Amino acid sequence: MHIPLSTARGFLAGDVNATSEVYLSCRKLLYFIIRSIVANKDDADDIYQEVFANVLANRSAIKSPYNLERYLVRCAQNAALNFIKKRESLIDYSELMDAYGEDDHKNSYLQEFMPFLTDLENAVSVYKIEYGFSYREIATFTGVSRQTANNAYKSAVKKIKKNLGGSRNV
Amino acid sequence: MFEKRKAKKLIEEKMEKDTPAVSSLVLKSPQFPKRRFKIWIIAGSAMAVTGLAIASGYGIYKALNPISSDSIDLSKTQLTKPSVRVYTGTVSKTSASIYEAFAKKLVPLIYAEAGTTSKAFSVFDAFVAVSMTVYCSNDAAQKEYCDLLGAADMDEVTTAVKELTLTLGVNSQYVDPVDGKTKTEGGASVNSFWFDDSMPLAGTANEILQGLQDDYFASIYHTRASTEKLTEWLSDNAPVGFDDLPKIVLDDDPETSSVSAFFVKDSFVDESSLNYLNQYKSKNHYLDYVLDDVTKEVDYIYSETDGYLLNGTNFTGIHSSLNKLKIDYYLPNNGYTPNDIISDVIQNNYTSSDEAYDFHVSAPYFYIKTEGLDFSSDLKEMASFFKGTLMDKLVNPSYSLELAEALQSSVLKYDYDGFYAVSVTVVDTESTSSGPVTHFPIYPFILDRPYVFQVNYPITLAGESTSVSLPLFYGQVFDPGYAAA
Repeated sequence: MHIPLSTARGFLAGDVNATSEVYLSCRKLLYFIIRSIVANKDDADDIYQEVFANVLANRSAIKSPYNLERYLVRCAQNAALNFIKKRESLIDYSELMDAYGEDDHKNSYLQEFMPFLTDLENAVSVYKIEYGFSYREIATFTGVSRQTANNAYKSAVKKIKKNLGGSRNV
Repeated sequence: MFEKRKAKKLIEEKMEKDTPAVSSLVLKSPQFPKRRFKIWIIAGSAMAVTGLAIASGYGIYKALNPISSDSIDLSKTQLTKPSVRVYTGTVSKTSASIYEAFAKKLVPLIYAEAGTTSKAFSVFDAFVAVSMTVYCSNDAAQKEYCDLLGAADMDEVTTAVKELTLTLGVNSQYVDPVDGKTKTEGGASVNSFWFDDSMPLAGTANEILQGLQDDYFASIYHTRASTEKLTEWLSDNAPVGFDDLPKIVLDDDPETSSVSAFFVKDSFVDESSLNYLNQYKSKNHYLDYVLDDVTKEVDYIYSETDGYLLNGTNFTGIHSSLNKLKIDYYLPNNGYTPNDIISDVIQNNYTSSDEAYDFHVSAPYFYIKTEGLDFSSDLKEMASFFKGTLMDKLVNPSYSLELAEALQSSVLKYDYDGFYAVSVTVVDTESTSSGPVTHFPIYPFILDRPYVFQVNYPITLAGESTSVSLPLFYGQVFDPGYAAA
């Protein structure tokens, strides 16, 4: 997800074309973030709609176009976490930090990506392979440490090689 | 990699299929009044898009789709090409002194840990890559670096890189007036700089990127470097005739990377080369080489040269020449190893003999492949600023980038073809002929056990009549590692 600065400015100023551009460039990532936390499709879809509605309604409060991407990611992440917190009557977010239990396969949505990976490995693989995010950023998205994210990615790559490598040995 | 591309395709298809459309009612929300913005850099924004903003100001903006870490279509992420280089052959005394100081400060640390395997270190590309990093870093780091190298300021270091590159690294063709043949002057130095364009850039980023392009002759890529990308880049930029390339392996996809590659080759004169090749093919021209009390036969080159014997505390050495490059050999006295003498070699702690000799030199073929030599801890030991924040003239200081790795991979080869190395290029414009033949006492110099070598490039300093030899490579040979004929 890369939003050009001019587009970000246009978005904050309410420009229709810029709004459409921002939507198209970040929709998949935001949905992934939400659904990687809230596996249920219907719940995730509702949150997703809600996030966009809130962002558009409150965009005048966004302080700078430079922060737009981070802001959108934060909105999606917080909306999903708030939903879980409310549903499970959790007291604070720290209880959500193992949402991607390292060896667990709790999230049916993540498991649909690459079933041979753990939830965390699947999430890190999407962030790294599809978006090229740094481990620092992935740590922010997932709540795990940079080192854990790094280890998860290395482990995922090994499994990907093994499972998707076919007859070709790279 | 093949599997990563498959995984990426799989991920993209699934995300496209699953992601629902947002209700058009949501997207058609009420318009908001236009706002005015100040142009500034937001500190600490890990996902800010200032990279592209700065790139735009820099003049060669390219609209990019997200770049995945395994993309190897480098043209899509290349922001600039390096400035055109023209061979000058001019190196000032100050620049030579700065470079030599770098070698003498860093190389002893590289070899401080005793080893038992052959290892080579290329000084030139290390100097360029490290200097690029410091160039992008804060004033305090630059001052410490300059003090270390005896430079007045960072401009002098940058000038040293520029002068040396335009002398050693331009790969200029010329016609030798003696034999009329086209020959190559200098080696080839190729640099690049890679950075993650989602990082918040500093206000001085434009100027820094311009300097990297103009003075460090770097191609600039606004994407992270990766093992695959650097391998592709090295392959794309290797001059003709350099097919044996070192393997570069990055542990991670770093946020910034200063990269310098150096290529150099030097051969014997035609007749000697043919003679050495015939000896190699004969399969009976071997030297008994002793390693760990075991004797084995190795191919070698026998040559004769005259000069003075270099006497160190526990070793002797000689200077020898190829066509243009000069190779110094240092043989530890019996009972000593290369580990015991290399520090003295680097610091030139030896004296020349009073009388000259005719050296009958027997030097084994060697093949040294050094992969991923990490000298980051040596840099930190050399200068304390390597432990702190770096790159903060390019990237907003609040982002706090620190040294992660300093890796060097190299391939050095010495055989009937001469000397081959990927990293630094050296060309000697001076004739090495020794004038009238003079006979000196014969001194057999037989490298029949582990030894140390140093490859130099002799240059004439600007405004001076004397020449100095700039060290390009240092090496320790234990097992020569060259496949026998």
